[in-house]
Amino acid sequence: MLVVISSKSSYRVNWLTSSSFVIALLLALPIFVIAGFVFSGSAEVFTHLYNTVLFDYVSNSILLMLGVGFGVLLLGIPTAWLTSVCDFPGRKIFAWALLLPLAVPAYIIAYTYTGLLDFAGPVQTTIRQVTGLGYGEYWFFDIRSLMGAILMLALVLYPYVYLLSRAAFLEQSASTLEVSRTLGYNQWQGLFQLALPLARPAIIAGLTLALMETLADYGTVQYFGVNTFTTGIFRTFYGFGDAVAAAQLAVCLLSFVALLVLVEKYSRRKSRYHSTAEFKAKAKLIPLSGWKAVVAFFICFLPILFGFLIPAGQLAFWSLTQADLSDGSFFQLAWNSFYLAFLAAIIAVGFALILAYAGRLNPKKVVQFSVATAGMGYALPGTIIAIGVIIPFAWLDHQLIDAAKKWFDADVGLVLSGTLAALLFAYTVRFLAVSLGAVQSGLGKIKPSIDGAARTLGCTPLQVLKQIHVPLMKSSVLTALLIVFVDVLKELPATLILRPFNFNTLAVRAFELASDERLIDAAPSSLLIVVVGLIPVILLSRSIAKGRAGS
Amino acid sequence: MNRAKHLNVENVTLAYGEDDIVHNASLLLDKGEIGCLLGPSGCGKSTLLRAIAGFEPVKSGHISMRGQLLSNPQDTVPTEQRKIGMVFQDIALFPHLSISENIVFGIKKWSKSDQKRRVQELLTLIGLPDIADRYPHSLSGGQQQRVALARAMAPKPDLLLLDEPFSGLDANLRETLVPEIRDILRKEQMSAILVTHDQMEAFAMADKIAVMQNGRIQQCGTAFNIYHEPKTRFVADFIGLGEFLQASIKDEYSVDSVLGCLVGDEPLGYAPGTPVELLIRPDDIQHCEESPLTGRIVSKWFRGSHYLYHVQLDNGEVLPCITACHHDHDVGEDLGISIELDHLVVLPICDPETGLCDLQESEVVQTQAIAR
Repeated sequence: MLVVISSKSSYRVNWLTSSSFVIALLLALPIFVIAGFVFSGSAEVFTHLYNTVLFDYVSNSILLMLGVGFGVLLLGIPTAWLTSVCDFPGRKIFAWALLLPLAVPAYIIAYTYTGLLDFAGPVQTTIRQVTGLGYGEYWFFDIRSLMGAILMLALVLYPYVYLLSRAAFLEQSASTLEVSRTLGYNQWQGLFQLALPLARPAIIAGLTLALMETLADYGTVQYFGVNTFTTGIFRTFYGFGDAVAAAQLAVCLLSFVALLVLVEKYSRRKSRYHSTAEFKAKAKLIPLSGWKAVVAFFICFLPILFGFLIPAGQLAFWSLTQADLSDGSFFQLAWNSFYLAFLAAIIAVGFALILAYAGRLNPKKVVQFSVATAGMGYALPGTIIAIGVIIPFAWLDHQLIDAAKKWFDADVGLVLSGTLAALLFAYTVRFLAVSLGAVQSGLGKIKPSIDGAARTLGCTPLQVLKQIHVPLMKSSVLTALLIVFVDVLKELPATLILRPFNFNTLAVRAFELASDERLIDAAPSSLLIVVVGLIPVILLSRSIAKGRAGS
Repeated sequence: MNRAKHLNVENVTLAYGEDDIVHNASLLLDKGEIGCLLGPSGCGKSTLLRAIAGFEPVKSGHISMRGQLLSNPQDTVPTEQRKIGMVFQDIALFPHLSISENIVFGIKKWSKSDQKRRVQELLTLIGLPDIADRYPHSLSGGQQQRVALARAMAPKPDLLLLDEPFSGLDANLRETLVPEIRDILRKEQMSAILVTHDQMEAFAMADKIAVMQNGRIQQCGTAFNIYHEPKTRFVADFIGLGEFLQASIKDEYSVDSVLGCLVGDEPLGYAPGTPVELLIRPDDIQHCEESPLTGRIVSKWFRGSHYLYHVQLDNGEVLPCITACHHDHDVGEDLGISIELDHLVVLPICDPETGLCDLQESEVVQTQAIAR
């Protein structure tokens, strides 16, 4: 990569190119480390895993994926179809309200429902009071099971399918469906013959996103005692202290994820062909009335009720009436979470800006590769990233400690793995793609000719940045900061593994309290996470409403 | 070389990576002149324009303006120091600034009162005096394009570049906007270069047109020039309507063809007996009821003020013919035609498959030299 340096501006471009490359390499470190264990380590450990637990992990993970996949399709597609094509009371509210469950992390909804549905919870207590039956004399659904985990995950992950398939339905030109009417299909036949097949790439993309989250989930399955890859990695790492075996399990999980990423990429590649026409005839909504409207109303209302209203209401009730906040640790937790999330957001967005500008100014293969590599982290479960970070950081720390002892006779301690550095690094790996997406879409709106116009009017490249890009990019950068902030706030597995000793965040503390059956005391932290998590959901639904109004 | 021209583009070759996009392009522009780069999409005209603006480095050759070197392979004066204004295809107004702020953007160093005067002056010039405080999104496409022009002209640049400025506008708007913009440029005595693929735009705006194909300037001249005296088959084809007729050179001034012996007013520059193609424009063929020469009408196109017919001669060759509107004939009828050619345009024979000509350019020059 020899570039002749001829003027100042190309020098700047090279600086950007090389730093984007360095960032990409740095962020790919965890993946390299994990992937490295495919070839190193002993086959012995793996054989042991294979003989004992591996089958359990694989079958549970697959069943979980099948169940959640079925669930999110069942909840996501009909709601998307109804809110985008039909007209019935409440449609406009449902259109954004169906996104609300996205604000609730799966582990939080899991223990909220546990509190509601287990033996001592209000539901079963009521049943016993009404029927007079005692313990063991009646059957009740056991929420702490694989089925329970599937339900919980489907309830909070269906918005991915809803969001993408709704966009696809809205994008379908009315004329497409009208053509089918002229060929003798009625509206409902049109749905199955045309609308669904046309939306298939989007539906698959949404499904794979939901399944990636399912694979990455740790809190729910751990709480319900379902053995999957993520819990296995945790147990191997903490229980047996065996980093190599944990990493080898992570490799297995990684191959599942890689498969999903490929499917997702493939479906997106195809989906591009569907959105070429610039002006589309706006579809006339199909009016529903009578019992049809009632059915549509409940199809849309139930996911919101069970996915958001009940759990959020329960958390609010617990927080306001019964929770014990007397030890004051709640505010310390909130402070820890907030400044950690803020720092991570600044770092991730900073890196994203460098990568996005390198890609814009110098769209070479090296830069494209860097951008793609740096964005990979989002597909990775937090557990994998955590293992991939702790192994090299611990090794580096030991080198540092030895060196410091030798040369300065000082004990520096665990500079990297024992501090927030490891955590911030892991967050950046995991959430860079999110911020990159937001920054890139903002930058994409500034057409290159705008730069050109400013240059011909006498601006230096730096002045272009200051006078044109900064004001125009402000809102997308803020959005990127916000999304990373909220994602970090909700993140659980990587934080559990990488947090410094005695350092707690809202998510970690809520999970620990819930695991200790102190559900009510976990409520305030959870509620705060849900409330903050609502902000990006509101932003998202506002942009949906805007897109609709503009079309 | 030292002709004291305003803009001097000399033997410029431009490349993206290894691929040469523009080959040895040369261009001269006087002060106050409007030039045009005309060609099909992908011919390199926009790349050449971007090189003049300083967005692309030159691989060889040089670009200078008012005697000052702007680009050569070693050195590229940054765009912002060139005193060149540019109007973009997608208009590119700054969406976060008001119209007056957009126009002031290039003249921030001027005093506030001068800025204000210039903005008012330009808004009056473009015929939109009351929009200073509005924002770009509230304007129509044509209004935005005029504001973009005002913004580019505000700093009184030495040269204004227009990169397909009308291609995003609908046909009606284009028809009114093109002469409007030409008048504005004339009034400001602005030297300008327009890039377009539309010959009507080029004819309406430019004093001087350079026709480009495959990264080469095929011909440079006035609109009249390139229409009536195309130097290459491509130019003859690309500019205006016309058909090619097989012919052979008879002597210095005349050719033999199915239309008989045709005599031109200038030496043709080919050796007698050379097979050539004769360019026939629709206006070269007149309708004449009594003419002994007839052709069968194979197509008919109503064009408002006139009909454009294509008539087939006995030997199968097809000629275009324009008639006044009242000469309404049907396809299949015979049409009497007469030839009104006093200027012959002959071109070496090209293989329609490969586009290669029997006579290479050098040979043409040689035969021309011999003929003289």
